Amino acid sequence: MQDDVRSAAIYKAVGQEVAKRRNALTPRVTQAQLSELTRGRLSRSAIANIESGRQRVAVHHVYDLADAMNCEPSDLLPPNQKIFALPASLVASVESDPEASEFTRRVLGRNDLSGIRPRRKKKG
Amino acid sequence: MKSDQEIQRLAMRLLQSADIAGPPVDVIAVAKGLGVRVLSEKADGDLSGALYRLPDRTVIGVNREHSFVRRRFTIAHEIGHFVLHEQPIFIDRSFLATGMNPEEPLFRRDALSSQAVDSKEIEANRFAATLLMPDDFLLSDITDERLPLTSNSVRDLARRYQVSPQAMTFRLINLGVPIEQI
Repeated sequence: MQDDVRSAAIYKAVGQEVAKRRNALTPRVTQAQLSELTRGRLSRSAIANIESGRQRVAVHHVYDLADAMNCEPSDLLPPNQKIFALPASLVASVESDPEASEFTRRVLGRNDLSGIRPRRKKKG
Repeated sequence: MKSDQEIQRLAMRLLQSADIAGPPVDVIAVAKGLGVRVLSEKADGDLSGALYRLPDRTVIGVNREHSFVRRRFTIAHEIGHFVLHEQPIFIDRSFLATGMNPEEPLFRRDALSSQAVDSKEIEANRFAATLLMPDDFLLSDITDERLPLTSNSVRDLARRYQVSPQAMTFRLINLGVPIEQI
C-alpha cells in the first residue's frame, strides 16, 4: 500500500513536470499539439493522463516527450528530494528541538531534515 | 473532544480488521493494517515517540530505550493520533502513568504545546488505553473474578494485556471496575 502511495507521488510529479514544460513553450502548446509533435507516438489523451499522473509513463515515452519539447529526458524527471521533500511544517516543528530532530533523522533515515538525502560515506 | 463511544467504536473497528480477538493486542499489526510502518530508534531524554505523515508514507517512531510495555503504549498512542487527528506531525514526550488517566493528564509542555494539542494528547491516550485494553476483552476477562479486584489480579491482567500495572489500574477505574484499596 505504501508502495502505491510512493509510486503515485512519482508519476504525479513527472506529470506536473511535463505539463509545466509544455506550458512554458513559446508559443504555448496544447496537449493535442504536443501529441502531433511526438508524431502521434502519444495520443492527446495519453498526454492528458500522463500529465495528471493517472498513467504510468513508460521510459521510451519520456524520451518521446523530451524530443517533442526539445529538452532532455532527465529534465522531465524531478529529483528524488524534490518529490519526497519533508513537509516544511515537519522540519519547522522539530528543528528547534535537538532531541526531536535527532530522533526524526534516525526514524526517517535522513541526515538532513531539509530534504537532502543521506550521503553514503566513501570508502578508502 | 471525541466521546468515549466514538473512540471505542474506532478501536473495535481496527481490532476487527486486524483479526485481533483477544489480548495481547498486536499494535504493530494494527499499524500495518493502516499502512503505517513502526520503527524503533534510539532517542535521548524523555522522548517517547512520534508520528510522521509524509507525502509518500506515514511512519511511527518509538523510543527503543523504553520498556516493552511502554513502547506498546506509545505505538498505540501514535496510532490514536493517526486515526483521530489531521496534524502532519506529533512529537510525544513522556506521557507518564498519570497521563493515561483522562482526568489527570500529565505530559511535558513543549514548543508544540497548546490547549488544542493537550486535548489531542488526552484523546490519543484514551484511544491507546482502549486499543490495548478493549472494553469487551476486559469485561469478559473479569466476569469470573471476585470484586473488588486485588492488586495481584490487576497485575495478572496487566501481564496478560502486556501493559503496565498503572495503565491497567487506570483503565479499570475508568471502566468503573472496583479495585481493592491497599
